[in-house]
Amino acid sequence: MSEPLLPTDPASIGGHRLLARLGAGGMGVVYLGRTEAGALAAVKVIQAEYAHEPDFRARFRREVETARRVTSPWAVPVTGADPDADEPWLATAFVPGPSLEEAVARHGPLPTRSVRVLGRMLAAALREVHAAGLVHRDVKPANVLLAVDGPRLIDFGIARATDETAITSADMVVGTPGFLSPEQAEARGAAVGPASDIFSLGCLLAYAASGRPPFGTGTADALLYRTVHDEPDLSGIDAEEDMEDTGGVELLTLLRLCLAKDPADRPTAEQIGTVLLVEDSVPEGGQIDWLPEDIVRIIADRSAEMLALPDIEPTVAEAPEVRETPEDAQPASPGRRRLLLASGAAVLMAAGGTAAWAVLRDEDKGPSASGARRWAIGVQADLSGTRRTAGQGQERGARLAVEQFNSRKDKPFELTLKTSDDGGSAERAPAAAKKLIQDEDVLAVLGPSNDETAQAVLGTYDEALLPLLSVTVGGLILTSKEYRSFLQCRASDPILSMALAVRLAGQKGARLPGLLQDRTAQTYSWDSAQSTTLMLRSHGLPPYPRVIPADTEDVEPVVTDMLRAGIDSFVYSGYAPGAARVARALATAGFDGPRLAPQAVLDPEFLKRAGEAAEGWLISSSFVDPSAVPAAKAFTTAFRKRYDATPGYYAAEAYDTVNLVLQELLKATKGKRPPGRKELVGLLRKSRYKGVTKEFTFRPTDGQFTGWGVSLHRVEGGRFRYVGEAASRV
Amino acid sequence: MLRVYRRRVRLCVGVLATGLILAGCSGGGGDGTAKPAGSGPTGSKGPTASGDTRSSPAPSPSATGLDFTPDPGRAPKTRAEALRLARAIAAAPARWGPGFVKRSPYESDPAFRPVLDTDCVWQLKPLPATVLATLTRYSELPAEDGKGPIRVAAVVTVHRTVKDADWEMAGTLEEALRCPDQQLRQGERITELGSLGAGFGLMGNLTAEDMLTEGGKYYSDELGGPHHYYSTQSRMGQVTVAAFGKGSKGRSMDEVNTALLQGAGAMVSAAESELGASE
Repeated sequence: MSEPLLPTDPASIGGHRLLARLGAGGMGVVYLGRTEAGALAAVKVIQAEYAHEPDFRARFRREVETARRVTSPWAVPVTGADPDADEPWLATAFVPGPSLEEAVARHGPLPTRSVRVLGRMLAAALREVHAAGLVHRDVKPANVLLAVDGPRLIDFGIARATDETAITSADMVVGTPGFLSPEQAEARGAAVGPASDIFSLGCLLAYAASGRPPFGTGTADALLYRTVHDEPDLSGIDAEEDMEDTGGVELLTLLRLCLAKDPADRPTAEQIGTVLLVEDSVPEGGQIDWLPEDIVRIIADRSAEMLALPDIEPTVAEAPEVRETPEDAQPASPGRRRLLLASGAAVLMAAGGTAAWAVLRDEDKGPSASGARRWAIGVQADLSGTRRTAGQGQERGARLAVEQFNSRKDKPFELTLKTSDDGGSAERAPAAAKKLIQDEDVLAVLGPSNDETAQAVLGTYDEALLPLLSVTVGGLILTSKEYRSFLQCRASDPILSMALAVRLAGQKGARLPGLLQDRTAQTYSWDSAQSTTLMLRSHGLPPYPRVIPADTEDVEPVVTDMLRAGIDSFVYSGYAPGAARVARALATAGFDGPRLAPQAVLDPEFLKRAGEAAEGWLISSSFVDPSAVPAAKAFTTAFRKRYDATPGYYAAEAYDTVNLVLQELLKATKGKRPPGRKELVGLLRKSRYKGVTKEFTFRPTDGQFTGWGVSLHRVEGGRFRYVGEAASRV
Repeated sequence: MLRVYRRRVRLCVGVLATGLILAGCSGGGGDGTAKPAGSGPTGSKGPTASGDTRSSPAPSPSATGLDFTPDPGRAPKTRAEALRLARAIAAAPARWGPGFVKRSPYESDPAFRPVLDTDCVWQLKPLPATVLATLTRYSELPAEDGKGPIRVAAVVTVHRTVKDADWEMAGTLEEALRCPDQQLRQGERITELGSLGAGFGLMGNLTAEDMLTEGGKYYSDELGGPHHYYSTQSRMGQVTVAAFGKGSKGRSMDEVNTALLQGAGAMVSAAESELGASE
């Protein structure tokens, strides 16, 4: 976002009339300026105090020289510079679009096709950089701006000639950890060559494709260590299905090549462009649609904001400096608007200050440091562990809700989505929680991933009174303690099992249900068996129960015993692998009465292991299949449009939950200020929200879900088919 | 006979209200540092790519694991060895707390054990082949000052194999599901029985390889009711130890539970020292 000029800002620099501030850092300011010819430019100005340091000025001069030596459509052209001025400045073409870093942080990973285009064009830019005898040395998402016609590589602040001897001390690491090559991480000065940029490009593309840096996040030391010693984490980057007409190699293959530890094993920028990513979607004539629609839309949104710039700069109009250029001092005059509009495509594409923050290397401070608060919704989920599909579904659903909020004209402020990956592990969960809790812009969090991580972090969220809303946590034990900031946004595990009993009790002629508690699933099976039995008994239908020890492989004797007892239906309390064994035993015995199980069995593993024997099983769940729910039609359509994919389990629930938060946020927002975390907790627990999946209500004392929202799925044709909402009473 | 216990065990059990609600419990060394309920280490046995997000909690050997390694050489193999072991473990009156005395009869006939029949009535039956020995000892804190007695029972069962003992634990859980109302003997019954089982590391079970608790209401022709009824059962290798406690007029739930946990803890310690490898 841009900000108005301050009264102390100059009116013009180097022939550029300054229009707004794009960003500011410790060493200088970046302005949006316009050349006399009318073109927009980002003008970076170094503060005089730094300019007095000879080293600094030398470095700045080198940056200017370097930038001028690179001529590529995918690098930002220098339009003017004066490194010897009292306040040295450098002007580059004003590049429309957010940085790759911001785009991914706000919109999630880019589609594979976009990543391939990005890779190809950045490789072309690097080819020019390397051909000019330079190494960029700081290729990272913040240094790539996204425009409608392609990316732009910016910031040559630390680039240097390949034949130049290291000017920095030998053990000094230069660049941005997480995107550095192993040789940079180890400060092996002489070994840092063009191949180093290729490694960074690999990191950057992996980030674009998965939303996560391949060597994780954390302290610089940890990142550098992992860069040198660990294999990159490329999980979440899907293998491409349709490679026939593209030629070249799969993205994953390219990334592995670029991320080779030995510089000699990496491809050159030239090879990437001519051999590895031959194709396809390289823009011809500048007109392509390589970016997802929503990023294009955000670029357009921002351009509207840029157009409004003169309107919101009364101080500029009154500032004495501005009188020197009176033609510019006509705020909101139609002529001015026309002039800006007339500068054409560039203005339409004009993006906010992100471009400038990236130009101001070292000084990126993120949105909240630059004035207006960027409030955020957090997501703590399993984005990289064994159940990452469910986590990613939640992230996508939540993101869609936030984007739709941001596109509303009457929004009091814009929101961002901040994710924190707990990997589904109780060990990682506290750090993931801390990240969101310490971020004061985060108003509420969707998560965490599961019962175990919840155990590990509920107390921490509670202390911070940060609203924590989960669509996945369902264990009874959790709710036996009253937490102050937790809201369970789903039917609990016992409820899901009670629903099975209600279903059986509602069937005509039901006589003797069989119930099998498989202790392999420990507390879960106990919980399920207790709940089912209790509910069956209360409907005058006491079951014939059996309990088997953990890890019982041979279930046939028990199943035979149950059949001999005359059971006419079957409820299994446990996990998918055990359910599959039981399903096979029942099928072998020719049992075709109702067979039911709770949510843990809604798992591909059950289908795989049980095969034909899974057919007809009925399974309860706390989530819907949005594609099959009429009320979720608009959501499903928007989701498909946004992600080019069908929403998976939990995506719609996450979408609803974030919308619930937004509803309460809006209620209590005063002016442009949202309610505090604590106030929001109280509001949420008293709230009622009709979502696309279910109605949300809570018990105010402990945040327990008091709605229903239980679905049934039946195995048909080797897959889970959504049946509909389960009955809540007979 | 002097017995040195390897460690003092304070049992950690949930207080089971009737039906579903069960609070967490504390335990371990009695220093208040027990893990929260359900915080067991995470295993890998659960569903994998499920719509469900749970991971399967399962015990795993670790630094915080169970401080008990069975010594195969000390495992009883004959009925005589098993009965000697049962006698060594089954809690005598002093183990339940000060003031406890033997009831009469004090010990059960080791040739029989109680079995819950299809009508939910307990019957004495001959030992099955899978059980080497079983022994029940009855003690009580006698009635005094207008308060009724606290009656407790200690049951030790020595199975031929660990697997047999595992099935006994499962069977106990099954009984509560099948018969929430049970007749203990003529004139004595329990109602609204609920049970909970948890492997090591789960639900606060930090003392035994497997453990279960039961709670309900006790009625007797002699003592009236409803009174508090509570029991725990722990498995160490092929041996299970159970403690049953029944309240009466003027006795709080806490008094009963305290006695029960002391007796049960003593038996778990004894089982560990009788069966465990020496350190």
